[in-house]
Amino acid sequence: MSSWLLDPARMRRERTDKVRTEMIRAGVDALVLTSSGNVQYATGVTCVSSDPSHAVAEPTMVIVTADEIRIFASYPEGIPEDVPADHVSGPLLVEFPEGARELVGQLGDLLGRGVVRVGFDDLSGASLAALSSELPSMALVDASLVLAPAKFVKSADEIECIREAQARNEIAMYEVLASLRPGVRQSELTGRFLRMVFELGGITNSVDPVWQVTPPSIKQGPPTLHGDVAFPIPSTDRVLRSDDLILVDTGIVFEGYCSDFGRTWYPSGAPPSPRQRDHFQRWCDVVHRVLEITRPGTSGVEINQAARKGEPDRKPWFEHYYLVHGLGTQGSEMPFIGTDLGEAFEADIILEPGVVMVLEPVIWEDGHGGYRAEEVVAVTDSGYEMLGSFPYSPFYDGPIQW
Amino acid sequence: MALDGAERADLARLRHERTNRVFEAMDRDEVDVLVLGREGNARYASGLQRLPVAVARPFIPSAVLVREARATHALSGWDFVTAPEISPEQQYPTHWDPAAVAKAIGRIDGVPGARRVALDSVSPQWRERLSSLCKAAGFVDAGPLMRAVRMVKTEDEVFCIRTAVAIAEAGLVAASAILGPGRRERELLGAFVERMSEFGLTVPASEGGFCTVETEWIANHGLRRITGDRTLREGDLVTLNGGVLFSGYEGRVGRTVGCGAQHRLSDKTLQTLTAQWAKLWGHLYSVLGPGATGADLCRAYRSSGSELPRFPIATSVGLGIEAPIAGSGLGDTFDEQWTLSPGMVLQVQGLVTIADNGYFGLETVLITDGGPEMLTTLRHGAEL
Repeated sequence: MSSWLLDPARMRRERTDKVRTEMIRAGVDALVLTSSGNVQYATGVTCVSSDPSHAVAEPTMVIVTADEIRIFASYPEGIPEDVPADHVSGPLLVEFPEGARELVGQLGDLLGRGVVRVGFDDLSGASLAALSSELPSMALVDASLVLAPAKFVKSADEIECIREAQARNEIAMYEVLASLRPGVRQSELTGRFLRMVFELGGITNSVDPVWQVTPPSIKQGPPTLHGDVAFPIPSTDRVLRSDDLILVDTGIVFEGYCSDFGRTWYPSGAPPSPRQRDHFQRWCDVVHRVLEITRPGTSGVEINQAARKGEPDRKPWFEHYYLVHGLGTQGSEMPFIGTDLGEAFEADIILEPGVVMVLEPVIWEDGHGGYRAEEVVAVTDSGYEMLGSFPYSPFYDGPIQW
Repeated sequence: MALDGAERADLARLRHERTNRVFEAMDRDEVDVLVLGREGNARYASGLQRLPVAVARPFIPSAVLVREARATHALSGWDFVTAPEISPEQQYPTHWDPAAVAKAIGRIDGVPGARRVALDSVSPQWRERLSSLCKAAGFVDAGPLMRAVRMVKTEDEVFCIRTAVAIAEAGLVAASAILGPGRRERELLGAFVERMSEFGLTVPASEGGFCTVETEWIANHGLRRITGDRTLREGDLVTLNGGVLFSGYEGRVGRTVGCGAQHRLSDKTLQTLTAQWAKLWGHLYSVLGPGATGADLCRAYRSSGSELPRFPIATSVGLGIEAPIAGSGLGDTFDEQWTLSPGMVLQVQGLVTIADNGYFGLETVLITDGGPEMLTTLRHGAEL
């Protein structure tokens, strides 16, 4: 149980300072951010959770320079109370030339028309056209140059937010698990989950909940270019059957921070078969081997190798995906381990206190299905701390004491 | 997938017609290659469906259309469902290394020699990559092309929106059914999404605005948008604004209701506000026909005696929001450019106020040759 007292204002202040430090390091004069996770990270402004078309049509955009933050928002509720009113204006509708010209005007006003380097997380077609013609001396770079290193290590406040997000996600999942039975529809589970999420308060849903019926062999599933298990597949009104294997994946947001919940469930309610027990045990072994070396100084390569030791036939994760991803104001961020980015990339990843990892190994025995679940882990000064505690039914009734 | 209304709408025909329209527009605008990253655009042009998330994802070229070959290429990622007519040869795989994705796009026939490439969005890094893939190309904004194509709906698209609206209305009725003193705003939102899921849908179009009308807030900020932890009290006015997605198409409805039995039946404030809403709607309805512009809608709004609110009063809707066509804040000239034509579907919304109280309404409307056809059917006033 955590005793850390979350201070959102302190958290926001520290993040903005960190962003500015990274801006100096990367030689970036300003950031123009519109993706909700980035906006939240750099300024603390919350965007309404919605379909991407709404995020574009009713944008929240922030411009961050060394000494100023300007907020352009479609609605005022998401703006922290300590932001001065004169820093806030109506939205910049940059999908249109008229709105893009307003953005150019703001940037010209803040930075002048000389040589500057500005980080963007997204450019509309209209913004690109307006910036290229009106501010030709401006170098455009990816905002991730600044944000990825800033986000890599989390403060105690940030970790507390992830812990809380995970706890509330798990509360909603208890409700869903209680409804799991043959004959229930995927959409009913979604309805139950979303209702719980909204009623708990203080959180929003971030991703369409996945309750994927997964056939025991790859060739029985939908075809993919990567040739591996097709995952994740959006939910429908499909009815779950007694012998189905369900890959579960949900995520919510608390104070801007994401949770990540993954388990494998069986609607039958029957005791697991010996083969299912074997898959689950091997999955636990992979997590154990990774946790054994999870401490400051461990590299991504070492994590990758530890996971594979004892699983010679097949990498114990979905290869088109990853073994590990980070978690913060985005549901998937650095560090990435087990992707196709290769060993050199993973050698550069060195764990530090405050790094948060989602471990998502997969044991797959084609023809017989497999097991996938996720654990959220924070690296501490001397080792690690688990941020979730949901049971592994039907194998264990309680959480595993890793 | 029954969720996709397969037995009622012909989704294969829908996708075919959409893609054809995009190629016709590419002919007209002489666009050799169209690169789409916005999810609505990519889905419209290629049928590609991504796992719905509540945030805008980082840019990646999700669909690449080549005019000369009439070829639609789509990104095949781990959270993508590709339309059945897109063959494996027309797909390019996702890699964590964007350079590998760029390399695959560079191998598409017609991409390297393109002279005119239209983009709906991009990231700085991808702009560099696309410039080096299409060395001879000039880059233009694909926004106008895609909006022009998407704004006029096919019959199948209208079917999808009609269905989504009906389910959104059912959700609103479910929310209003539990409304009462002591309830929290959040419970209304919960009831809305749960009702939606009973129809087999899983994705609300946005979190939904189930909010008490705050008298102080109205004067300074307009309507509250984010559902909060407030507990409803006898006499509160509560906005119910909910949308759902059916095969990606958005249906939305908005109403304001009173909290508490007594209030619902006899409250003068609500009666006065609904009468004022009826007047506003009469003015808007009279101009919602072919030939009217967004600016005409704004004029009709003002002529009813109400001031324009802080949100657009009319928005073109299909695979989500397409464009604000009236009252966006970009001015009359911006609104003049949008002319209503048969087949357009609009969300038309407004706010009428008296003293420090307000009434919000939102209707989804199909523009036909003969004028507006209401897709929303819930009434305004004491009961939905």
